[in-house]
Amino acid sequence: MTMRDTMTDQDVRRHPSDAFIEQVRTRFPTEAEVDVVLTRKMHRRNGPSFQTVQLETLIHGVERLIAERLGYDIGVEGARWLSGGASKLQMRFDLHWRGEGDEPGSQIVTPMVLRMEPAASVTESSRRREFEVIRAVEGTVPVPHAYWMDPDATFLPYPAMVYGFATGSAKPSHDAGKVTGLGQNYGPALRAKLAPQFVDYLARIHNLPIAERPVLASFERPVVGSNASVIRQVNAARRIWEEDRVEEEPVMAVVYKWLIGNAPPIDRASIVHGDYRSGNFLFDEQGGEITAWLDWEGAVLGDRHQDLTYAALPIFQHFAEDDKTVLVSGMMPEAELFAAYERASGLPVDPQRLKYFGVFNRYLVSVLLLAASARAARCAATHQDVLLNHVSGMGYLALSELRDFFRSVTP
Amino acid sequence: MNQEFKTQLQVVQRALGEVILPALGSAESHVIEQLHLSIAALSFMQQRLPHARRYYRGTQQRYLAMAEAIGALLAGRAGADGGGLDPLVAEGRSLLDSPSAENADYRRSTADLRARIAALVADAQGSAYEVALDKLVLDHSGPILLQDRVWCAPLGFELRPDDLPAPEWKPVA
Repeated sequence: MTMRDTMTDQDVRRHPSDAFIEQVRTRFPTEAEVDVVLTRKMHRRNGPSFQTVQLETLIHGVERLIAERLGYDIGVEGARWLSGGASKLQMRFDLHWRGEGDEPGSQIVTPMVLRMEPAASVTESSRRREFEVIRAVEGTVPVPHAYWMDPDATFLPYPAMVYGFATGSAKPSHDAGKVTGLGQNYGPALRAKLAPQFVDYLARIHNLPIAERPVLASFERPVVGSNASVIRQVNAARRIWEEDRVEEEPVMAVVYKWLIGNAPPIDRASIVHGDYRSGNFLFDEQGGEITAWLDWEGAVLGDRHQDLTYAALPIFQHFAEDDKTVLVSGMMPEAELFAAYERASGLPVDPQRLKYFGVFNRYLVSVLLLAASARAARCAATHQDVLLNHVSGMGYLALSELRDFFRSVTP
Repeated sequence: MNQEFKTQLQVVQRALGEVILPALGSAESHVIEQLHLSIAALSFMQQRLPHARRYYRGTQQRYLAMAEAIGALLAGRAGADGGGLDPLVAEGRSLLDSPSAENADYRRSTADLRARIAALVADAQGSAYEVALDKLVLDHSGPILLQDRVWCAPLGFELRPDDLPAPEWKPVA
């Protein structure tokens, strides 16, 4: 009798055996670092439920991490929880240290953020890759400086990183009560200032030459003319579906076949943010300046159309004041976004690739909502189970949208 | 006691929203946020609990219809049992006729049908009937997913909730 004969579909995902974990790894090969992260998630699932982490535990852990990295004693003061985001635990604190100049005897205070993953999350990701990509784009787009990482949880209960505290607001004060940041409405005055920057920063990210960035060591380089890197990404999403889903969905099976069979070859390899949208940047409300781009954990090296179509996903849209015009990511109509991006980047926007990545992103979002979010909440695996459970309720909207969009772009 | 779950959920929501939430005052924002979400989850249950049985039965009926259409498509192609769907369809029809069937029975039957159909879709790759099977799945899934969206509408994610179809689980007044 095989393992699958004796365990229900639910059991095998709630309590995955080594054989199940290996079987899924083999069926859906991904980038090496992605494989490490997803495999770790599955092994953790057989451990205890997520235990609430005390602030003191994080303070002690971050003190040890930084002191070890710097080679001298530091001080951590003013620590407090930082809200925002659906997946990671964050602690703001003031670091008393010598500064980057490392002058003995000097003492400065720098506000910082510890970002640590829980036992599972909506986007299972690598702190190593997040750290590397923030380092890679620093100076090109506004990001908090990435200082140190603890990618294997040597000092902290789970993998973590430390970066500088960035000032700014994630939501406009008139809409601060919105929980998820989805469908964020900035209002016409702020929108007019933010929208050009939204496009310009995306163009800058995609134009960064990745060959000159050895810091991106945990990312596999896509080969121009090959679709292998695209297929690895599809398989990563499919692997999460296989590991986390709470129910099978026949539409997902149809779309997966198409994504594999129609993956376009890369025409240019770019840094892809992976979660480029409203709600994932901070801004100065008075001046209308974007002060920091956040949430780089889903970044990949790949096709720029992935970010373009992600920013335009329906779940990040809302209607303008005329109640007719649809604004993507709360910024501008979709056609205007693509045209403005072409002008800003000098890179062509290919309608066929827009269709492909439009399907891919809808597939990915369906996976994250109906599988990853629902599973993490069900397994009591995070500090935000109630939030992940809430957003999983958006899953059928995402899947319905996937089905409709897929039909509209396929014969 | 108040036997209605509606009342039980109502009193908890009032306590959380009208007494506890205001008392939290300047608590950390993630604490307030989690309380708002807890109230939203209770409100969702209050609205949907009375309709759960009809919703689960309706969903199961739609997947049975999809499975029967697939069975007809596969007849004579994937074996005599319609690609493994025939026993699942028979069990599902039996459940719908059984007054003692529980909500969990409908949900399990639906999950089994979905899993088998998804497996058939994967196995059909390269076959002569792949295109027809995929089209059938997409055709049947459209109305199912719309009803699922209606079910989740109280969570507030729909851009135009008024554009959704009427809920099929509610009895006509």
